[in-house]
Amino acid sequence: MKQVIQAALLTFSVSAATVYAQLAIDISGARRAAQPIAVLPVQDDPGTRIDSIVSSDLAKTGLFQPVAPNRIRNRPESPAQVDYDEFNRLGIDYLLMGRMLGDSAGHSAQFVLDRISDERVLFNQRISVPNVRYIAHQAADLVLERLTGVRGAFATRIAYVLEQRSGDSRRYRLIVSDVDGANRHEVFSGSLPILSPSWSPDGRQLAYMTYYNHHAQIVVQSLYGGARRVVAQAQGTISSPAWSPDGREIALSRADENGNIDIYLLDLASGGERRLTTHAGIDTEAVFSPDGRYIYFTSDRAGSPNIYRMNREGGAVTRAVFGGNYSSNSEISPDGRTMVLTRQSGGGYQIGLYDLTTRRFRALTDGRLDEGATVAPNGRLIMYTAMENGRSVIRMINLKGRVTQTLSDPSGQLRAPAWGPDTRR
Amino acid sequence: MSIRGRLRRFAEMLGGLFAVAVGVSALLMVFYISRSPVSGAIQSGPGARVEPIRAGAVSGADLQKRLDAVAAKKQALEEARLARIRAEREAKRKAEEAKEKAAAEKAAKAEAEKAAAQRAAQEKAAKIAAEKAARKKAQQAAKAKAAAKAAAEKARLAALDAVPALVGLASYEAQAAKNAAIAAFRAAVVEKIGHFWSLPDVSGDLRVQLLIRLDRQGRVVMVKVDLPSGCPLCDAQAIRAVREGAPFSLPTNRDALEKLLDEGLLLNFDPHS
Repeated sequence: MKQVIQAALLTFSVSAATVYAQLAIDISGARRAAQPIAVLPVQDDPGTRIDSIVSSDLAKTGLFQPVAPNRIRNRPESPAQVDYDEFNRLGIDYLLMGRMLGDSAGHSAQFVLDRISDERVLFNQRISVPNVRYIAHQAADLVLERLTGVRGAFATRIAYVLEQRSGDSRRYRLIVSDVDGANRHEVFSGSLPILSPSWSPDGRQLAYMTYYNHHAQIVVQSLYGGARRVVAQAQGTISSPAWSPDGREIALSRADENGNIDIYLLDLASGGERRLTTHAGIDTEAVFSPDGRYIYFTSDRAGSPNIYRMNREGGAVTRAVFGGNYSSNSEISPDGRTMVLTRQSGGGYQIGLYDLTTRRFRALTDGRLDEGATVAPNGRLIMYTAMENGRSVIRMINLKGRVTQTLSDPSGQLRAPAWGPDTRR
Repeated sequence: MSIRGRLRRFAEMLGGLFAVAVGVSALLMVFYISRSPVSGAIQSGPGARVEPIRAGAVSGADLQKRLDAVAAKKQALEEARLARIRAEREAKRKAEEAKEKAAAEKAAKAEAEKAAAQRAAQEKAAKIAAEKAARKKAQQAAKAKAAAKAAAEKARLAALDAVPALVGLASYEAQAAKNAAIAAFRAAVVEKIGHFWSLPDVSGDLRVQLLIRLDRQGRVVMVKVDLPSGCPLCDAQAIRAVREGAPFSLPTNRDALEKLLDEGLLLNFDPHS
C-alpha cells in the first residue's frame, strides 16, 4: 500500500512539475490592401482644397486609399456627429476631419483622426504653419505618424535644377518647392550649369556647384535672404558638395594640380580644406553616413565606378557595395541601414536599394537612364531623375518601386533633385 | 440375152459416151486456155494480137479515186485500230486508277479505323485513370474523414473520461486527444483570423503579438497588444482581424479548454513570413 501511495505521489509530482507554455498561435501572410480612409472637406477651407491635398499625399504612400468625398453623405463636424454605421458600411477604416481656425492669416487649423472600428479618436491636433498648403501636408504627415509610427515627409521641401533652352542660349535655375512641386521659387539662376544641390542639415541653406568667370565654384546660399558665399573655387574640377550632419563641414571632390580628383573636407568656419583620399583614380560624390562617422563616395579605383567607405577623417578605404560592375551616386537612408544608388544593368541605369548588412541589391526602377536618387527624410520615399519622352523629369517612388508622382516642366529639363531635411520638432 | 445384160450394155455405153464427152471438153478447155491472153507482156509482145480491153476501161482519175478510196479505207481501218487501242488503253488506265483509288480508300479507311481504335483506347485508358484517381481521392477523403471522426470521437471520449483530479495521471491517449483538440482549434483560429487580416504594403519588421481572452462561447472578451509592431495601424489591423474572426470554436478537450480560458491565447502576427 505504501508503495502504491509513493508511486501515485511521484506521478503526481512529475505531472505537476510539467509546466505547459501558454497556448500561442502564429499567423502569417497578411493580405495586402491599402487602408480606406475618408478625408472630409475642411470647414472654412479658403479654397485651397486642403482635403484633396491630404488625400493625394496619403495615396502617394501606397498605404492608404482615400475614399471619394461624394460617396459620403454624413459630414460630421466633430466626433460626436460621426455616423459610424455609415462609415462601416462603406468599409472605411479611418476618418479625418478638419476645420480652419479663426486666424486672420488662415494658417492654422484643427484636425481630428477617428478610427471607425472602435470609434476612437486617435488624435485631435492643431496645426499652425506659414502657408495654407503646408496645413494639408502637415495633416497628412500627422496621419502617417499616428498610424504607421513614421512621420510623413510631405511637409518638407525639395531642391532641383531646371535647365531651359532658347536657341543657343541656356538658362539654369535652382528651384526650391514643396514635395508635390507647389510653392515653387527660384533660389538662383544663371547661364552656366548648376549642379549637385545639397541641403544644410537645418534646411536653411543650399550648397551647389556652378561656374563663374570660367572657374568652378562651390556656393553656399541662404534660403532666407538669398545671401551667397563662394566657399571653394578651382580652375579645374570641383564638384559634388555634401553637408556633414552637424553642418560644420562640406565634403567635396576637387582635382589637384595633376588633374587627379580626390575627396576633400572643407571646414565652413575656417575655410580650411583637408584632403581625405589620394588615389590615382577618380574619387567623387561623397556623402556622410547619418551619424556623420563615415563618408561614402564613388571611385573608379578598381577599374569601374563603385561605392567605397572611409572614416570621416579619411584613412583606410574599404569597398562598401558589392556585386555589379557599376554603382554610383549613393545616398544613405536615415536609419543608416540601406543605401539608394544608381546601378548599371542591362545596358541602362536604374535606381535601387542596397542593404548594407545583407549586401543585397534590389532594383526599384527599370528605366534606361534613371539617376541621381535622393531619399526622403523619413526614408519611405525616393526621388530621382528619369527620362520621359525625351524630357528629363523627377519621379517619386515608394520603397516598392511604385511611381507615385512625376514632376515635369514643359519649359525645360528637371535634374538633380535633393530632398530637404525634416526640421520639425 | 437377158434384160440385165442389155441394161448393163446400155449403162456401159452411157459411161463410154460420158467419158468421151469429158475428154473432148477437157481438150477444148486446154486449147482455149492456151490461146487466151494472160498478161500485158504477152499481150504486147511482138507479133501478139492486141485486143481492147473492154472491161479494163479505167481512167487515171478513177484509178486515183479508187486508190484514194482504198487509202481512205485503210486510213479508216488504221484509225479504227488506233482508236480501239486508245480505247483499250484508256479503259485499262481507268481500271488501274479505279483500282488505285479503291486501294487508297481502303488504306485510308484502315488508317481511320486504326486511329479511331487508338483514340478509343486512349479515352478508355484516361477514363480508367480518372476513375482510379477519383476512387483514390474518394478513398483518401473517406479515410481523412474517418480519421477526423475518429480523432473527434477520441477527443470526445477523452473529454468525457477526463477528471480534473486525475490530470496528472492522464494517459497517453488523453494527451493525444488534447493535442488533437488544440491542433484543431489552432487551425480554425488561423483560418478565421487570416481571412480578415489585411495590411498596406508597409516595409520593415511589423511583427505584433496580441494576448486575447475568450469566454465559453468563443467570444473575444479582451485584446491586448503584448508586443507592438511600432506601426499602430498594423497593430490595429491585427486586433481588427481578431474581432472580425470571432467567435471561435473552442477546443473540445476539457483540459485544453480550461487552460485556454484560464491563460488566454497569444497570437503572433508576422506579415512578412
